[in-house]
Amino acid sequence: MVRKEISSSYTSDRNTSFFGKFTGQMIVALLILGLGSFVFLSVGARSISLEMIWNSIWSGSVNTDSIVINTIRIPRLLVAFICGIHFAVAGALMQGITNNPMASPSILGVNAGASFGLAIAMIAFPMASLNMTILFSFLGAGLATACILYLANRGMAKGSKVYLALAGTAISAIFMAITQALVVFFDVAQDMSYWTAGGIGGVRMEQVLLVAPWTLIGVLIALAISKQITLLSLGDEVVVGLGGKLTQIRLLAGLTVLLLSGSAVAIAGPIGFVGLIVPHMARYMVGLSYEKVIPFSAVLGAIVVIVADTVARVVSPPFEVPLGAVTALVGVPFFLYLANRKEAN
Amino acid sequence: MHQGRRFTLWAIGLLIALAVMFVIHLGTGFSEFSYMDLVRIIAGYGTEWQERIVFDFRMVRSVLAICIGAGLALSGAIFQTITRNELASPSVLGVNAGAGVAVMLYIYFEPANAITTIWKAPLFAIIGGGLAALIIFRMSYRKGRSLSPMTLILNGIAVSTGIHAVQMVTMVTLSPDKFNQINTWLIGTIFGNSWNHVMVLAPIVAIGAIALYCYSTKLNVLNLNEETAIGLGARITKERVTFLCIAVVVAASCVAVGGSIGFIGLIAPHIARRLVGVNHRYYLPVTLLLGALLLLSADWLGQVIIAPDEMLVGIIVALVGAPYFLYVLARTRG
Repeated sequence: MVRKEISSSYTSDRNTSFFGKFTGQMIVALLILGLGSFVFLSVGARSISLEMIWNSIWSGSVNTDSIVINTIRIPRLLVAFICGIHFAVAGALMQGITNNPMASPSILGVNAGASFGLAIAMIAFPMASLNMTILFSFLGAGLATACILYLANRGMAKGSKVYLALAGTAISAIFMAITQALVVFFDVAQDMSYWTAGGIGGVRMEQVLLVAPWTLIGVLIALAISKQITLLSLGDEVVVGLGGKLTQIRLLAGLTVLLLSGSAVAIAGPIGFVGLIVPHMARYMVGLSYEKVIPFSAVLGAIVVIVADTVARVVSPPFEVPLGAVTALVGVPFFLYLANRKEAN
Repeated sequence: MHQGRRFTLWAIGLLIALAVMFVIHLGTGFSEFSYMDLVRIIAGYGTEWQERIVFDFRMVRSVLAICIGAGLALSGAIFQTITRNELASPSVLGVNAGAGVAVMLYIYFEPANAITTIWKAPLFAIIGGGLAALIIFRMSYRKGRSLSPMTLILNGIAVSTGIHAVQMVTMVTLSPDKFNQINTWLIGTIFGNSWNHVMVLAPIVAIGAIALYCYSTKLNVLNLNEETAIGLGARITKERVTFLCIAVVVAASCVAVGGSIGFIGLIAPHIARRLVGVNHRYYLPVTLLLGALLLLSADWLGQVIIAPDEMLVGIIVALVGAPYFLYVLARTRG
């Protein structure tokens, strides 16, 4: 009864004053995404005109440019979309359920866990299909999440937001060290270095199609529980007061995070900081309601990753800078800002 | 007095352990020697080839492991004292990353030249490591408040991540040869150095250790809380900066030679404090011995664990060090 009143007053208040605005923001973001995609497709080792791109997508003509577009750039673009959506939504969920602005898949060690799972898959089943490696990636991410949740539920973590971030980096370091050791031990360093650097070059269309269902499932679950996430983000006391089911929602959200970051890491490697920054940008623009933050984060995440990947390709041709390095260059100053704000301690 | 006796016992024990490990380390490698052979070769009765293996390949490595371990542990102890923070160490405070990027830039711009490299790399490492540490301290410092331990560490980790990203961006444009050289060095390895490296590193570590030992009373005072230290007449800021400089110079020189070996500077001082307490007169020597012993053992482990291949020592240290960091973190109050 009370819960209904408060939550409905919360959302309806937001809806009446912001709904129109939110739709507008979403349309603008999607337009930017569309424009960015065309730039993404035209820039690269071979520069291709926008007209050519349009033709090669819609007409069946076959020439060098259309082959480059259809077999290299479009899969890459789609993977960039998928990574952006996955990491951003996972980050938004994590920040919501932990009520901690520094939470994100890379900082809390989920990405490192997924890489660990991936390494195991490569060593144990070198011939495994992508779905199989994704499964291992999930398991690894799950292991890391279990570790971090265990630490988060110890008394200390609740007092300090910085503590959780530190514990996450420590877990990350552990998983990375184990991964490195395994990779050296079993001599798969060459295969693995591609992932650990975090790059999305050379992705094929089949891989994209295999991961796409996970995107759909993950985002749908995230949207379905977005209202409860909003409640969780208000803090434990509020949720308990409103009679919300803390544990189930946390568990479901945690599983969604695994799904999203695990599959993204399996296809693109641990690209850091997207999941940290994007939800902050989204909250700044559309407010605190996760019903808006989650879809908006998804679109923003895609924009951020395609911009970062475009930068990675053009900054020092003919070399390609690892995508993870580009996102880190933007992400680190932002993270420092978060860690040094007064309320962080 | 009781503490003094404990110290003597531990110091002797660690010295013996170090000596034993040194011999084991010398006896390990690609070609097999029995310990009798080893004694014979060291005494000067081996063939030229055997002497070359034992002195120029293995002993250099053992001695360097001892120097680097001791140096990193020592500077870790100083970092932990002046920040009064159990989680501090050269690697989490950005010295490794800063030194790394400086040395990389140096390799990037200058063709490798055996004679100049030996002196210049540590110099660049010291500048880079010092700058990184300075930035991190300045960033975490709030006027009128004591350094927040957690924020300091988090800033250190974040700045290191940023530096690594810059490094990645530069590294992709390197030729494969240089890339491999830097990559191996970044993960941390003691292999492939010469006696010249020892000649550079050993004096720095030794001078640093002696200087710090002479000032152990001052360090004891700094370890107290700030008000008490000021009351006892310590000029906190000035002394902190001085000790910080010594610690950075020692750590950065070690990093320049051995690469980015993290966590030794965290673990060794921590264990030492458990063994002999916080009096720096006892604490520093034990830290030094422990650091040397730990790195020497880790390097030996790296050689035997996947023989005839070799696991980089940086990985071994991280495997032990990261869980230990988590353990210390779990005990620290924010």
